[in-house]
Amino acid sequence: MSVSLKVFDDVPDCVGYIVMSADGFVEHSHGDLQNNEAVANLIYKMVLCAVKMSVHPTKQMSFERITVSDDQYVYCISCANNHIYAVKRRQESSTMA
Amino acid sequence: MDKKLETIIDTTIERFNIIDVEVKGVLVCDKNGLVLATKNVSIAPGPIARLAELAAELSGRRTTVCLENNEDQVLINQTEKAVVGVYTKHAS
Repeated sequence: MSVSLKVFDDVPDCVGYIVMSADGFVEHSHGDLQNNEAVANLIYKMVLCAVKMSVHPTKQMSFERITVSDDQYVYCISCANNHIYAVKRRQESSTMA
Repeated sequence: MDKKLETIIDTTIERFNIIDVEVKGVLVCDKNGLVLATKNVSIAPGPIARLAELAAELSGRRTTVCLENNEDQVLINQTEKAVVGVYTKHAS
């Protein structure tokens, strides 16, 4: 699946993206995340887990975005229209080095 | 609950306040999701520990997970012994 999606064109420092259905099936993937089933599985499990969590300590409020950041890359994950969109971006600090 | 942990949590909240980030709650649990200390949090910690574990598998390095919506966010970090979740107002 190497059809390039326009929706991720404007994301700065993007090194890969993945689009999955609500069932966890990969529909599009590109770059570092292309054909990477392990990452797709992990992202799907994270979304399933995050759906049960609240962003507020006492009230039940669901998330709109998940960001997983380490010192080199950041994964931004969001859901819309029964799809899961995840993009892997380079962290700003590593591009300056 | 451990007094030392509570003191550390209070100190951390003060540090966040210094940089103008309003902390609404803090939760510390172990990697299995057992609560070690909480402040103003009444949500079960199981998914927090699980998310931190999945993030570490995803990246292989020390990661911070941030779940956010337009008003609030929760920052989750896993150390060697514990998982810490900090509930704050969204930084915008």
